[in-house]
Amino acid sequence: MTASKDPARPPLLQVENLGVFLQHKERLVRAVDAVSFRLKQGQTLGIVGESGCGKTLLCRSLLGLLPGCAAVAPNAKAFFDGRDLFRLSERSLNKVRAAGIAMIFQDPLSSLNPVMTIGRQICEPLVHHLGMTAGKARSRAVELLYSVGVSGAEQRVDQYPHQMSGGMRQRVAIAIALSCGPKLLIADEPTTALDVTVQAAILDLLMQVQAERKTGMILVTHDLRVAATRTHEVAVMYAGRIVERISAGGLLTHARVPYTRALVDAIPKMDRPPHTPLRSIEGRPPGPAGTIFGCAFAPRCNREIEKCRTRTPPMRSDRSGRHGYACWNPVQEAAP
Amino acid sequence: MTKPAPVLKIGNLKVTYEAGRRRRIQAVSDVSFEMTQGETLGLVGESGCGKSSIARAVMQLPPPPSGRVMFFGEDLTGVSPLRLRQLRPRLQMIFQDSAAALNPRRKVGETIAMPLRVAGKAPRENRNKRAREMMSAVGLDPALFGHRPFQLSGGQCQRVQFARALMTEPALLICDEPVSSLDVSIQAQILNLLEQVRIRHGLTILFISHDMAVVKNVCDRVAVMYLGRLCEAAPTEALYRQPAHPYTAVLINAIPMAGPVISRPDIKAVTTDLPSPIDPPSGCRFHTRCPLARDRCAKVEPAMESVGPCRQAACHYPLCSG
Repeated sequence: MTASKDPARPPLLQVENLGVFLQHKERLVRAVDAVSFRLKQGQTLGIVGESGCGKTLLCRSLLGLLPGCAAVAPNAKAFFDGRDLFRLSERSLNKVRAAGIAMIFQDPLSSLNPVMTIGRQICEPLVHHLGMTAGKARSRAVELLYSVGVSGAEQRVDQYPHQMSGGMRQRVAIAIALSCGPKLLIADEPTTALDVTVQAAILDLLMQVQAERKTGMILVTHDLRVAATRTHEVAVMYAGRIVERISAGGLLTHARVPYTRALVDAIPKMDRPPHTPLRSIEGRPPGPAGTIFGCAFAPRCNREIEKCRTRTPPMRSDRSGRHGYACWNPVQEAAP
Repeated sequence: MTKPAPVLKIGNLKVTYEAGRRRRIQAVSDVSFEMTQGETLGLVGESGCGKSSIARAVMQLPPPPSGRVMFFGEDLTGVSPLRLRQLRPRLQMIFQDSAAALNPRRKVGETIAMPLRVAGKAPRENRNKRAREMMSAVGLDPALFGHRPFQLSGGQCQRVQFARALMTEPALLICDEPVSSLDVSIQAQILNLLEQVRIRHGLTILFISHDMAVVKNVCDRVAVMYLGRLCEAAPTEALYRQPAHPYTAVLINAIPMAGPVISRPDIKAVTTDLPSPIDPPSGCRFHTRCPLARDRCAKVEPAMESVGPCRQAACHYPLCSG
């Protein structure tokens, strides 16, 4: 958890005013809106939010992996290593995809090629991007498999994804992501499709990899408990916007945005007896199609004031500058 | 104090599946437990441990190859098809994937009214009226009666399932991962709904889940399964405070923690790889992953034994004992 405190050093990734448009029934809708954040080397940023809040589109836009119906807003910027990712040629972007940013997807069964041995899949980037010979790439693949905790890697390299368990497959996906030594790892719900015990093991692995290689990491999750325990800083998203930016340690106790609070309250607590009613959030998140006036959460919010329905709350920071919140009527700082 | 008769009593239940090449998967082997009136029993374990197979065996979908399923003292595996049809309305089930559990071409209102039609109990106007009432009762706007499932959100579809299940006034409700595919905020709504209907209809609930935090919130008693066998059964509070089986401890240890941290055992499985259910390990099935396994565990299969008041575990060296 040692981060470089050097202020002169530019952040590894700096995203400014990122918006993603989505074609929805002959209309353009903003699926991601005005998202800005910074990520330092060796740090993990958690992005949490419910399904449809734009987490995945945000990640995919950084790598130029948006589906055909989506496009990045023209004024968006994302500086990675000093270069704006949105203004790179396809060729330069491929170089970034090779050795700069790697992505781990939710479901390894669909992200891995079912008709190719995992060895060949790990070797592919090594040969293609790093120019290794087939033999050298194969021995490197075995090393990589061992480093992500796959036992018997010499035999495993010749297996197909369907011959492995879900946890093993996700380890293989991580090995592929690490193959070219990326500076930034983007993990999009990497454990959602896995069993709880496997989930914990994969998260342990990601944290270990991140600490050893000092890479930056973006961990997208819908589970606030995972975000609170496995990241340094958390950005909470709602309806395409970041509504709160808070240290992981403060997420469950010091959140000021009512939405974040409500999400925390909705988690079943381990210290309550059975049959304790949960605090739920009424209604559901707005779809991308509707036009939103003011704060998108206002219709579900219990701290709504007049302003909320008419004006979008800007992101404000506390005195330290490390806690940002976009809310007209935030919960008081002295948290209970 | 007289003990009420069990609503459901399962004895030596066995479920197997064909796996090709004359091999059989033992999805459930020799599982026994009972549920008393008004109780919520949680069934937990990793995927593939046989949780859903038990649910289906109880529902007789299809009837299990061996073992007894006693529903209010009547063995469902032995009754006539006619009698089973008479009993079915009292047994209802809610599935994880509501998109697959609801007929996409049928109006949700008709889906909700369908159990009454199958039971042949009421004329159509009456059925539809009851369906509308039930929709309000589970928090669905009756105006959605004519909608198709794809027009509803995941949470709404789950409410449709609840409405359908409650139409025939069931005594036993089986919930197979009812909230796993939902977002946290919606999950809380559905869990609160479950609690409401449990009280209102006096339901006995078999609650299947892999989420130990949700189970803690919902269940009175928890049964832990591993590779087709029961390894521990205990009242919820006792189980979480002090697990007896190392596998239970592993599961509790894997919960990502939020809020006040309960004390928990520092036990992790040796490997996360599940052995094949076609050829399960000898002795205790968990011994290949158990950090506390000794020689005896690989040789002798432990039986369920009492390890405290109302609690049992199948372990040679339980972490706590009565």
